[in-house]
Amino acid sequence: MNCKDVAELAPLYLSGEIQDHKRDLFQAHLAECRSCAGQLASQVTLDVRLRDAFSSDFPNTAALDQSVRSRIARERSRRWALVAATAAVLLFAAGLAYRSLRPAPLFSDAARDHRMEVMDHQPRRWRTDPAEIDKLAARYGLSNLAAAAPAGYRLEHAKICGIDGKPALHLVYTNGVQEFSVYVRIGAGLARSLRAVSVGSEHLASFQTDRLEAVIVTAGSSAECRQFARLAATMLSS
Amino acid sequence: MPESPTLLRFALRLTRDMPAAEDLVQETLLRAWRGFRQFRTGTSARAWLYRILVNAFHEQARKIRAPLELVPFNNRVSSSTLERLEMAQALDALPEDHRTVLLLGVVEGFTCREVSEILSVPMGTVMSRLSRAREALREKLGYERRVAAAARGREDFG
Repeated sequence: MNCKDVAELAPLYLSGEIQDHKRDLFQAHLAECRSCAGQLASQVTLDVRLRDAFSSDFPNTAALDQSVRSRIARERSRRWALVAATAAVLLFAAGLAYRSLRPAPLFSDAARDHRMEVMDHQPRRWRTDPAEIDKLAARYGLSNLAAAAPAGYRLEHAKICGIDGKPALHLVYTNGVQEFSVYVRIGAGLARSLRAVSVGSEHLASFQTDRLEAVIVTAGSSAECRQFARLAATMLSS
Repeated sequence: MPESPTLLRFALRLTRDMPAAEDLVQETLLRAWRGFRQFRTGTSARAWLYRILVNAFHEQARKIRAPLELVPFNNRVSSSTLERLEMAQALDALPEDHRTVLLLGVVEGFTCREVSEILSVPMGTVMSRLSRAREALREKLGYERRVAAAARGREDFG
């Protein structure tokens, strides 16, 4: 090891990081070279002076610590507020998703009701008199339903039934061959496009106006069901 | 916060300005709190804190342009205070990279490897920078000592 090596390794020697075998060579060189030994001794003295000057310096940080603690507390409460707000938004979104995606007792109830009352003919207090039907329809803000029947169809009878836990006006239209049930109830008022599903052998379609919710049921085809739903939508919106 | 006095001591010599140093330490502690998940267990938490401080300092360095402290010398200060003042003036007059390695490697007692991690520079750079910084400090101290002696001489005659 020569003087240049010693100068290069001095920082590692002073910090105690020099490898054992190099330390031996380093010290062997110092024992022989007065210049390097003097240089290193002066570095050690300088380090001691520097350390002594500052290392016992512990400035008072009480105010600073307090300020950091309160900023952390503020940030932490902001974080919690954010977490709470996010959770609330997620819950709300989940609620909306549930409302719009649930397979709707509405549909299964409507399908069952249509099957029992229209297909299996278990009539219960059907109103056939147009004046009486109009009286029922008036509760839903609807009028002149017989005249509003799609071409080729006539309003056969109507009654109030319960679907999905709410009263609904059940209208049955027929063309002599095919029958359609239209269930109308006061809706949530959520704008939604036409939805169509099949429950068992019944085809269903639903839509909403600004204040009514309607479900169409038929044992015919789903295409006919959707077509009738579009007609009914026009009828109920006008 | 157990580490804040030593962080402040380091920040003060780094920035040469107490308000700036306090801001820097606050920023460091907040960043450490926010980024605690990034701290790898098994590494030195202390070195990690200093690394955050040095990074924050470099980001803010453009804003901090503190003038050098002008400390009047007189016969009433104790010899240890005088030594401290001389050392502070000599250190403060060094370029920032020299000041930083001396403070970390000598005053704060970090190893060369730790200093290289704190500053994100290779080991070899830390070693050569330390050697040059020690040399520069020795020269400054010689100069400060002569200036101080001259100042004391003038006061004696004044």
